[in-house]
Amino acid sequence: MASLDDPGEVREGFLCPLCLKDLQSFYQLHSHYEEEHSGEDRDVKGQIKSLVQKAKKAKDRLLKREGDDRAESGTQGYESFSYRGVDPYMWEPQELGAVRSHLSDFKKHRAARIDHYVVEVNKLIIRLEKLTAFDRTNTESAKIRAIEKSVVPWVNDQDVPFCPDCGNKFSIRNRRHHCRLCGSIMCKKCMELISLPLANKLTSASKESLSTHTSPSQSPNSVHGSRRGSISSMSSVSSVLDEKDDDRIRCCTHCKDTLLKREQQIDEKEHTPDIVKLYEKLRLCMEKVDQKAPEYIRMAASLNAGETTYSLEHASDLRVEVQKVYELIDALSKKILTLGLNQDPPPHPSNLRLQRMIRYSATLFVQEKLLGLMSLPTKEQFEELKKKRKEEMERKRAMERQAALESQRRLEERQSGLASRAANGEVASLRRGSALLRKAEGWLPLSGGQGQSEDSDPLLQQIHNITSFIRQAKAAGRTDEVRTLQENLRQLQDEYDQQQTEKAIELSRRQAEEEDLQREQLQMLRERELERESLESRRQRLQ
Amino acid sequence: MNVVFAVKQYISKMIEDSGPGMKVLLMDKETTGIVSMVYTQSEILQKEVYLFERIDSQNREIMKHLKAICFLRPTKENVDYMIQELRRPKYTIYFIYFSNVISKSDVKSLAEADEQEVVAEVQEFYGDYIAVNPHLFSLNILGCCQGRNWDPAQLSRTTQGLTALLLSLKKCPMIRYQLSSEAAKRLAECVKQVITKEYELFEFRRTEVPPLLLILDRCDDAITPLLNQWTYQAMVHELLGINNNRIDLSRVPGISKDLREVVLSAENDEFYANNMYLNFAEIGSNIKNLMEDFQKKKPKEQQKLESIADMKAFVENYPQFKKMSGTVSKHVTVVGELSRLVSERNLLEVSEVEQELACQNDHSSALQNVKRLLQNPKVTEFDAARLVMLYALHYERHSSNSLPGLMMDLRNKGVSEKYRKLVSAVVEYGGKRVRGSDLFSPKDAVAITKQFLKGLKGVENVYTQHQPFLHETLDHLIKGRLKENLYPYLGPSTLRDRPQDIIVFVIGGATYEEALTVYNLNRTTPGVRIVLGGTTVHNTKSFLEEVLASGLHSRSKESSQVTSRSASRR
Repeated sequence: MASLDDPGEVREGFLCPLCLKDLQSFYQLHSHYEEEHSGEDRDVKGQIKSLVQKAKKAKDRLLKREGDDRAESGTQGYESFSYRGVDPYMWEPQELGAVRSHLSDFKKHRAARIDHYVVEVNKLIIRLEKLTAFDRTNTESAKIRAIEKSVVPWVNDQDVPFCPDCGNKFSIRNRRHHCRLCGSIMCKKCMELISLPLANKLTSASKESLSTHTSPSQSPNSVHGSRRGSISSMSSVSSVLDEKDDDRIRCCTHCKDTLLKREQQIDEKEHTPDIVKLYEKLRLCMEKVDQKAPEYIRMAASLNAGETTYSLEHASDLRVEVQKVYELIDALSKKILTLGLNQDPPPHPSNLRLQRMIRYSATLFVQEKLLGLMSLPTKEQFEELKKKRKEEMERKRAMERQAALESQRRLEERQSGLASRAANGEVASLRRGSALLRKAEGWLPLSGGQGQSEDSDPLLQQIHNITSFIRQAKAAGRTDEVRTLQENLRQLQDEYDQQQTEKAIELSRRQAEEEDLQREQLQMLRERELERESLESRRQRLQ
Repeated sequence: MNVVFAVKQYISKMIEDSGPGMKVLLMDKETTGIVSMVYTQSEILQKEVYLFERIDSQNREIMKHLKAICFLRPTKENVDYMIQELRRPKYTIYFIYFSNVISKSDVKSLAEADEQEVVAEVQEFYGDYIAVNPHLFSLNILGCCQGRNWDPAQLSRTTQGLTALLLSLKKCPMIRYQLSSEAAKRLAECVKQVITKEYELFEFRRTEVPPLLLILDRCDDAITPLLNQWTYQAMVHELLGINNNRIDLSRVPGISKDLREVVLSAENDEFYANNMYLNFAEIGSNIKNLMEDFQKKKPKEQQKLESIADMKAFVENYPQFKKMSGTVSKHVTVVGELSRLVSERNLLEVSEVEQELACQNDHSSALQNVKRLLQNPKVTEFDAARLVMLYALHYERHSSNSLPGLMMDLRNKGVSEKYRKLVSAVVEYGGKRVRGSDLFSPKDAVAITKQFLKGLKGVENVYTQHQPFLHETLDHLIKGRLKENLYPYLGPSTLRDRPQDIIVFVIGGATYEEALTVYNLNRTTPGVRIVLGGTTVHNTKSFLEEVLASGLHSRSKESSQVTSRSASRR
């Protein structure tokens, strides 16, 4: 442009691109164009278009080549530096490797075995029930023996000359004993005894499990009952030597083993150790933190930025709440750590290790998460922050407005500059007048529009609504609703802010586009003129 | 193709599938190593796994409030242990994962032991190898061969490891092997056998170009594991020894208690991840930067903890600070020890001659340099022996070979008999007679010109001239020029296109220098992914043990006697 700025040579203004007749205004030019060149219209337009396209293409090509060059050199540089292959650390994560399940096979085999086992246990328990169904203490021993023999056929004495367990020969001194549950024979040393309370416990538990089969949750009463049973069975087992033979049942080791296993199962079903209860509480707390902490962090971040989406009191309440959970986690894990330390037989080392590890992981958890909790501003600080943000926002808004205005003014200046450069002074003043006019126009809708849009924008209306909702909800003390509303509000505000900035960007972009268009036109006109001039000068030289 | 990720995914899946609640991870000796390579304790703690127990440990207590995740190799002992465990269960519920194919009969005997119905899952998860880096795995087998043939137990373990790797990456490859090695052929056949037998398992989505498994033998390149290394990972392994990412520093003079054993894992040590492939000089300056960073943060703790704000800033930085202080002291110690060893053992000079022996063909100068170093009292017997080994390998058939003289020098230097015997054992292991390809003199014109140009230019770094033979092999393979008469395909089908996914396995162990080569090949070659594996990852010491274990020295004894006799005759 600077090179074209020679006023004697260059003609500016609304020149007809074909005949280069200077026309005073765009409208005049337009009408001139319509009148004089309407015939050639298409053609010329096409010409211009193709010219523009060519220029664009050339430019594109140039740019592209430049880009390509750069890209090429870039890849080359890249190649020598970071190569074209892929660092193994950057390999795309693959899917899970192959797996094969043997569960169905396993279950099939197990089912066969379990059936056998369950049948055996049930058989023993049913027999046990029969053996304990009558009043043993008040029945004659001969009668007891008859009943016992009816429950299970006893093995013939003659068939077993040696104790099958220890191998000792049976004699008058070493007498044969029969297992009342399976009928087998053993010596006195190898004989086991089942006390009646234990028998009761086993039989009642199996009845229970039958009755509660449909409803798995057992009533607390029954749990209590059998607990007591297990305690008394313990005492009776320890005092087994003092007891008479008629409140216990003779059996072999094998049957006793099976029944004891069964007892253990019953006990385990009903007993949850302290550590499990504490641990469950601990996990609940951790989950709570996982839920609440992100919410708090969001609030704190917003408040620290001086936004007014959330209330300060609410956030500090939440902070206290989260901190309390942390304290609880700490306390719970400490409790787990010291669990059973004062008991007389100290817990097994692996139990202690478990407790230590739980404590350690809880500490890690607290360390990691608690330190992420940012602090809240104090009230005064918050006020200050709010003020600052307000100022900031205003400045931003002002700057946006300023930018918009600026670009408009620049546009106008250019136009007026163009006008002044135009040979015709009258036109210039006219144009300046129109520019002024336009400026006035631009002011009004801008400010007016903004004022209007503040009320008419549906987003803003909603924001107003929600703030009043929040106020109401707060008055009603519904914190949950307040929270969700606040979240809504924040989103709305974000959206609104974004919309506003987008609008501003759009505005300035449009103006820039207009500017570009005009500049392009002018440029074209100038080029024409130059061409014409050079032609003329050549012609003159020729002459 | 990321092997670390593959194993990690298996472990995560196991833990996830067991649901919430306190858990114990029940492992055997090998799976403990496999898991520890991919997970740190604190990582796994976050997933509620609080205890790690060995299946073979006898004093585990009954803890019915724990769920047990069992990750075991499907060995006979483990199945027996598991049967014992299920008969008297110590935990509420069992999720059982075997790291490889388990037989139907073993599943049956396990099922029959589970009378209390405590087993909730029985699966095969093929994490049956040590994942060292994303592109490097090992089986931690030292001494895989007896003479030239496989130790049968190790062959089956290697087959299992290799097939598990293929399954974990979901690759059903074509197989090529080094023809000159009987062991390579045997392994290739075994792998093929498993693929055929378990064809259902190996049915993966077909890729356009099938993956390739290349099986090599260490004896084809005995030079690489004999060289001193100068990149961080390789150097640490060479001078200190890396065992499942752990480094034993207890022999370092004046070491503090908590640094007796350190872990170097690229998975959770950023500094290590960024520096493991850089050379020693660069590490030095990076360590310095790390120190400076550390010092910038440190004063907060020591000097200015007066104001509350300072305290707060410190506490907020605390986890990173703690982590960083650990990293700093660890790497400073390691690098310090490395540089102490370098100067104590005169390694710069030694390495220069090693590189000359490995890469150049000037016999007289090499001989002179070796002789000179053998006179140097600072050079340890270990380094002296390896110099002579390198000389013996390179100039094995040279017309003016003066190995007997060097052996005399070794004896005069007071090098123990063990090392002197190893010289001939190494030649027996990886000498010209066994090598399928020529290690030292380039054959094709391109390589010759390359070497010629290299000679003209001079070498940029005298300590890192050597390029493992594996580089050439893989380069040819990628370009589709690897000779089929030296590396035939197993079976009739061959690969028409250039390979894309390559798994290289070195019988007798890979090295970290080769791992670096593969790493660089991965980075430089578009469209190609290479994973390197070995029966183990060697440094010179472990390589010499491998040679010793192969039992070749018994035969070489005679040859050493021959040489000593000839020497005495002179």
